[in-house]
Amino acid sequence: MDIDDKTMDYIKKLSKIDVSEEEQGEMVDYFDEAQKYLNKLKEVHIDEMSLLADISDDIFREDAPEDFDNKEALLREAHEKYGKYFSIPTVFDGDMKS
Amino acid sequence: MIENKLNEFFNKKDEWNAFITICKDDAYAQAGKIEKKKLSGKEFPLEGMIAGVKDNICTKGVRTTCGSRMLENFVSPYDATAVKRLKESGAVIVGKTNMDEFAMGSTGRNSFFSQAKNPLNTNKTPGGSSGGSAAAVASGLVDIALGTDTGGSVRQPAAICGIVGFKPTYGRISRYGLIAYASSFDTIGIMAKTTEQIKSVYKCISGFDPKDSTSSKHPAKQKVFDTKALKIGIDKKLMEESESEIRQAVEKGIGVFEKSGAECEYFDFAYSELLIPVYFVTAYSQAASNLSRFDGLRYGFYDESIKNSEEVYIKNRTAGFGKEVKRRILAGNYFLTQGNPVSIYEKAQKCRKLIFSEYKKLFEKYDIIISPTYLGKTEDLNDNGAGNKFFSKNKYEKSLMPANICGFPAVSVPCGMGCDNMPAGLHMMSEKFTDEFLLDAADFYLKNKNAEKEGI
Repeated sequence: MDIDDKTMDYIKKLSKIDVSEEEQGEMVDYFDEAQKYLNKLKEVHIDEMSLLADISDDIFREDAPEDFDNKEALLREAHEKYGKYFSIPTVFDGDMKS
Repeated sequence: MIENKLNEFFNKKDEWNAFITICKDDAYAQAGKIEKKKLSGKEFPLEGMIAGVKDNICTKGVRTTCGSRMLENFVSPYDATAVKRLKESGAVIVGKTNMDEFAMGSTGRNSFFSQAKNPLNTNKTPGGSSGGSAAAVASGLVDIALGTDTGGSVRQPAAICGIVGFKPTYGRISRYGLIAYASSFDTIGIMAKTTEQIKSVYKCISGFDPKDSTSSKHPAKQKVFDTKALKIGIDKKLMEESESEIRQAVEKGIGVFEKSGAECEYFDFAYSELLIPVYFVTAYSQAASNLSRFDGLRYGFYDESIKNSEEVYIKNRTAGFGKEVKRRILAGNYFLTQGNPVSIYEKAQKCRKLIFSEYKKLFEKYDIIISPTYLGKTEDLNDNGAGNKFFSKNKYEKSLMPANICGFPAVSVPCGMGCDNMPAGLHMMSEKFTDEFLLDAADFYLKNKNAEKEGI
């Protein structure tokens, strides 16, 4: 399967990564090789199988809400704070720097 | 005693680029605290041990780079649970060990900082991605090191550097403070020269942690190690696919168990062909998601030439990540867009379940599954993959993947010489939550192998 420029541009956009022309050529080879392995997955007929695997059912803890009442301890981990809030550098202002 | 050991460590030269950061002041401060607490009667199970910690595990006040330009100056405000427990048990951390960037690689070549070298032969790689940890232990710089194992990154370098590398059951050692690569595979592991050291460290740092949502409360399975009652399964395909010198070394290793009364038999694993695709689709897709947080805004690399908001993410990520990391993120996003009507990621998870079910059946028959750890030759520093392209290079790592795909504990122990006068590793895997049993088996093997060599 050939990866066309449109697909490559879409993947780069999703990844928020730019690649040089040379790297792009290498990525196409890479995806071509990957395709052989993906085909092995496609050949397996298990679509009716449930996705919830017993592989991890003894790992996840109960998904129950818990109250968090130790704001002071949390704020102690902050690099900078403002009152009872975390203070983080400005992301988007005039010159892009905080 | 610990002060002498620390003096010795800080006077030695790291000829193997095993470390990215050395933390001299912190190490002496930590040793001082231990001495002070001892005066009031406190005991430390890991007293006298000096340790290296892989540089993707957070250490408070000491930079954690992940081997990447992206996090070159990142200093974590907290300790990972494994680090916290290691310190509380009396081990002194002397530095952060070298690694392939974001744990992506198996040679150490992908480190932004320098290529780590194998202490047994400095023209060879130490393996990876925990190559720095393996080199630090093998060279004798430290007693133990923490590594991380997403697809064999503790066991493979351990095999290549001739030491013991242990990956516990998924959920047994907290991942809190481990910078994620592929969350459903990532496991903190332990490297040392002896199984006794690994056992004592494992005892101290394992156990439930509420800060990690995948930490397990499951009790350890009480299984007594008895060689006469031991049933061992040997993966036939993996033996056949390995280099002949490595296969012979592993066969000798199996002989040690056989002589002691264990029942050994070969089996064919039905889904061998699915291991590589399931591993890569899952790992790279999760990596693409996990690494999307690195944009240089809150922490990490920031390109000073950025002029507008459009450029922020793309420029920082393009310059901050190395080639292999970018390749895996792109591949992960590619995999996540593939498949209609069933996504390829979903298919991989279903195949993962198939693989797990098959191993579950095998563990009804066998207590331990044995294979070579790494099937191929140790790479030279400059050979860049010995002509193998991309995914096909990973055919040598097939024996490592099942433990991550299924969450099983696994250990690699040195079993003699393989190719090019470099060590071979014997890989043992057991069912979930039988970590102690597996370490007993590794311990038994090493003691009996050595006894055999010494003619005892």
